[in-house]
Amino acid sequence: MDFSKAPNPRKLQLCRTYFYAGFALLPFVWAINVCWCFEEAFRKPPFPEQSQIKRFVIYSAVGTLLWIVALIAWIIIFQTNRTAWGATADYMSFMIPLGSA
Amino acid sequence: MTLPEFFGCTFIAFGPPFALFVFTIANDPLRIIILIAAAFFWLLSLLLSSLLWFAMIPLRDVLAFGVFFSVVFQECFRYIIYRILRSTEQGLQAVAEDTRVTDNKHILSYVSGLGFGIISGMFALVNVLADMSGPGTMGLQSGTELFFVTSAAQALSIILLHTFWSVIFFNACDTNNYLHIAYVVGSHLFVSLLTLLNASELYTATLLTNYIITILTGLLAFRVAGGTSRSFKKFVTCQ
Amino acid sequence: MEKRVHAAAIWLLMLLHGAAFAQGERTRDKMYQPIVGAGCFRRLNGTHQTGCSSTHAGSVGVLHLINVEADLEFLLASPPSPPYAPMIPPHLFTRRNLLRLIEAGPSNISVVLLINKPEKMKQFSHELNCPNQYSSLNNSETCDASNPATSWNPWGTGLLHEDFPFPIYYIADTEEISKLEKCFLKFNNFNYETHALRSLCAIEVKSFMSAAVSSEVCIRRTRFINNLSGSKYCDPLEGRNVYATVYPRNVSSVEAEETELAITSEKFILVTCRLDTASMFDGVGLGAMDSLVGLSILTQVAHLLRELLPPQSSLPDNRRNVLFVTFNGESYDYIGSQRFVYDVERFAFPKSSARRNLITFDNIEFMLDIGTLDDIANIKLHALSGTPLAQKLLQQLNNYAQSPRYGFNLNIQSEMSYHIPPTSAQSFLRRDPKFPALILNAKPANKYYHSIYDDADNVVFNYGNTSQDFTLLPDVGDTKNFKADSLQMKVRNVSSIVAMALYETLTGKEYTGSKVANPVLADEFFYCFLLSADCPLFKAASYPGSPKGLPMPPMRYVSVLGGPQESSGWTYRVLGYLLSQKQPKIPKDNCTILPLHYFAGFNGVGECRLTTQNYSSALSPAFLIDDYDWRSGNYSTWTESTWSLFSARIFLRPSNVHQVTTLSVGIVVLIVSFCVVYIISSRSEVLFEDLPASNAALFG
Repeated sequence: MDFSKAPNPRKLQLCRTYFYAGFALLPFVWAINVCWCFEEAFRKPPFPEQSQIKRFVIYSAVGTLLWIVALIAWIIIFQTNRTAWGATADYMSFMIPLGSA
Repeated sequence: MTLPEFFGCTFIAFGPPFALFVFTIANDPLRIIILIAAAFFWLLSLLLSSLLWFAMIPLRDVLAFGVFFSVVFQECFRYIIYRILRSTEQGLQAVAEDTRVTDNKHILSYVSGLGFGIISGMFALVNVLADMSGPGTMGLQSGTELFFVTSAAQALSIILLHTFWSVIFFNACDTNNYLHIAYVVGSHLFVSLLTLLNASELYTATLLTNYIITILTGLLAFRVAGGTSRSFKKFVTCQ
Repeated sequence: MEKRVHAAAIWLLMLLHGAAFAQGERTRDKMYQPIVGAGCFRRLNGTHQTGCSSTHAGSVGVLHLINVEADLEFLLASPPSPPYAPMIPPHLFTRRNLLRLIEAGPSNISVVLLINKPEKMKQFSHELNCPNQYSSLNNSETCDASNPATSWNPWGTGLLHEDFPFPIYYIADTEEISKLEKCFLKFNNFNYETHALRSLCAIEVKSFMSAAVSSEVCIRRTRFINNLSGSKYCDPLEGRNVYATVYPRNVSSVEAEETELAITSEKFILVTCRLDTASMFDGVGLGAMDSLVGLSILTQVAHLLRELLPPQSSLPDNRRNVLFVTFNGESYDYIGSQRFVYDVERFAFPKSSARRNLITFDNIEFMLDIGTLDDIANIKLHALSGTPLAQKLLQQLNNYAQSPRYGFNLNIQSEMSYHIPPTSAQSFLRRDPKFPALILNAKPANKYYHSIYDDADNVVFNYGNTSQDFTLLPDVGDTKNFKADSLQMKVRNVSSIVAMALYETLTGKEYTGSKVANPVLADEFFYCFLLSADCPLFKAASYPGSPKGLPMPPMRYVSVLGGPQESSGWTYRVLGYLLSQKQPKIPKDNCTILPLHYFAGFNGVGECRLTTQNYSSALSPAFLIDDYDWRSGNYSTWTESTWSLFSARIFLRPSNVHQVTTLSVGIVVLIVSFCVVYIISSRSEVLFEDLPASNAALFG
């Protein structure tokens, strides 16, 4: 669907749904919400639902950011310590490298 | 072939066609379609020649035989494209956003020729590239290190030649200029058979002859498309 | 027009030329030449990884022939175009040199090639000075690696237990070596300073190993439930022990087997030896001196006892029997004997499917272990302590060894101390130092212990090819034309002595006959195991008309589950054949259910025999015990990494200059063509001026 052509209440409803769906450990939904509704929230001329959409977009953006930071931190910690953790790290992995520790 | 060699050869063979594509084809959807259609017809000619090669079991090892019929098939399909493009001219006129395509008939022949050339250059080189994967270069048992560069240069000349040939051929068909048609078929055959000499590593000879023919054909195509020495002079002197 | 004639002439010429020369040829075949050889692979134990692996894509190195040690300096100092692949003859394949190559790092040395030029080789053993040191008796006296006089493999370099950062590839075939040398001479062996500027002849070796770190890690990963790709990282070394008794044992009743442990009062003399050998390279290594001599003596003893002994009922003690066991995987921390001890301890030997009564340690009277007999003039009887049993056996052995009647002229010494050779008996003594284990072992003299060069030449084996019946026992004077110092006669003498001593032990009477072991049997045995499995002995021990053995010696590396297991299979058949009793009355059709077995026999007509042989598992108990502590060192933990292929090929590696030139030419062509096409297309109306204005847009 073309988001920009949808009626304003529909936009708000979609934005809200996406924001709540993101709580089911789905950071990508938040990221999509930010990209999709950014235009409506900040670029379009004001309309009644805009402030609410703006709020949801900002919250989604913050959530995405937190996720990114957490994931990057975990990936760095895991990759640098994988060999040292031995069996524990193996049990956390799905793909274990061939031919190296 | 190592990675730098691979990219070097790819740039040599496909750099100029890519530039042509970017500046003259990419901005017009109709031209892209014609380019792809021409490439498809070239593939059909390849299919036919390979079927023939497959059927003629006793002659499989005689490459010259396969080359000859491959050239014949390619030229046949060039003629088929010509017929198709000319018969669909009116339809094209209706859908074309850019009327130049239909106003200047050389554009159609150029685009289809480039399509022909790109696909034939790809087949000429990709077979080599696929066989070359690995860390080595030519020259262990025979051949020189320049084999890849030579192949790439050869592929480039074939691409350019196909473009020129199409321009000449289409115009010749329009004007019933049988000499030009004969020249196209003859030089195509000559160039293709010339590549057989590569088996005895006469790379300089074949490549030089190849490029001389490419330049001659290019000049002919230039003339056919409406260029003159006067216009060239004007072009060079930026008037 | 002239051009046309000219073209036609060339055209004709080319048609002729094309028909004559232009043949379809794959470019790959012009660039690469495969090299046949054997790869070194990765083995792991509880704590370490050993052996070699290439990089995932294959290791590439520039060939460099090493003739003298100084040639190595060139590669180690500051090589002009690294990485290199030194081709090393065996006499320079030393610990010192290899460690230096490791130190140079994979960026300088990426592949090592061992070429088969043994002319200057004096010794070649890459086993430890103390083989199986950590699974032997934990006593400083048993073996001292630093003291060549008391170590069991004084020439060992221990390289088998090193982890190499590069693949090592062994090239045996002289034709392959000359291919390499030719390539090296043509492209590399001049103007070393300009190496960086030229294309050089290089080799690519692919031998990527999946396992890493240690058996603990790779077994854990293989068994791991999350292992979605199902990839196997390593397999435990696993084979089969072969055992047989001189007298057939009663088939145990089915009820007894199910209800209670059927322990009997049978008495066994255990005669054992090692079945396997080891080497650094996959599929090469015959272990002629290090274990085959022992195996041949065991089979000869078995055969001789089978022929000489009276029926079991007429023995003074008719519960006595001889159990011959050949242990597999002994080269890797006594896998076979550890498992045997483990099974016997747990009342699991023989396995229930064999339907024989259990054998426990109480059933074992004593053990005579045949170790490595490098030099039969120097055989010693080893035991931990000088028990009366040991003294008695020694005296019996020497009685026959020195008896003028047989003229063996050997003197068997004794050593009653902790200085025990690395043989299967160690596993029994580790469990119980009081276990009555006696070991026949010679002073180490094998300079090629556990190596690819421990072959027929190392034991000076010349095939007699007598075509005589090897199952008949000759008189002592009948040497079948073998020289007194030939391998066949040495084996005949030692096995006769051992068999006679055992005969005396069993019957209580001195052996006074004149029949001795048959040197022809030794001859055929070594031919089968050293030269070709397509041989009379293996044929006789197979079912009539069964497919011939391969014309190459059977592989004697213990290998893994699903490995070839050729050696244990043939030993099973040979022991079965030589230790069985002919049953002339039973027709072929009734001779199908074990212990009845139908053999081709010496003349190939087929005979039914009552056999006693069987297999037992040689998989280390470490892989059976849940939560086994891999670092404890109680049991062998050796595993072998999996790999997908071994391959090597030579080719011309382009110089950096060439690569950079090609790339830059390509980039220049690309940029120039972009500029030219842009200029032409932007001013096409000027160029094609003859056309009507609306048409002047070819390059629109």
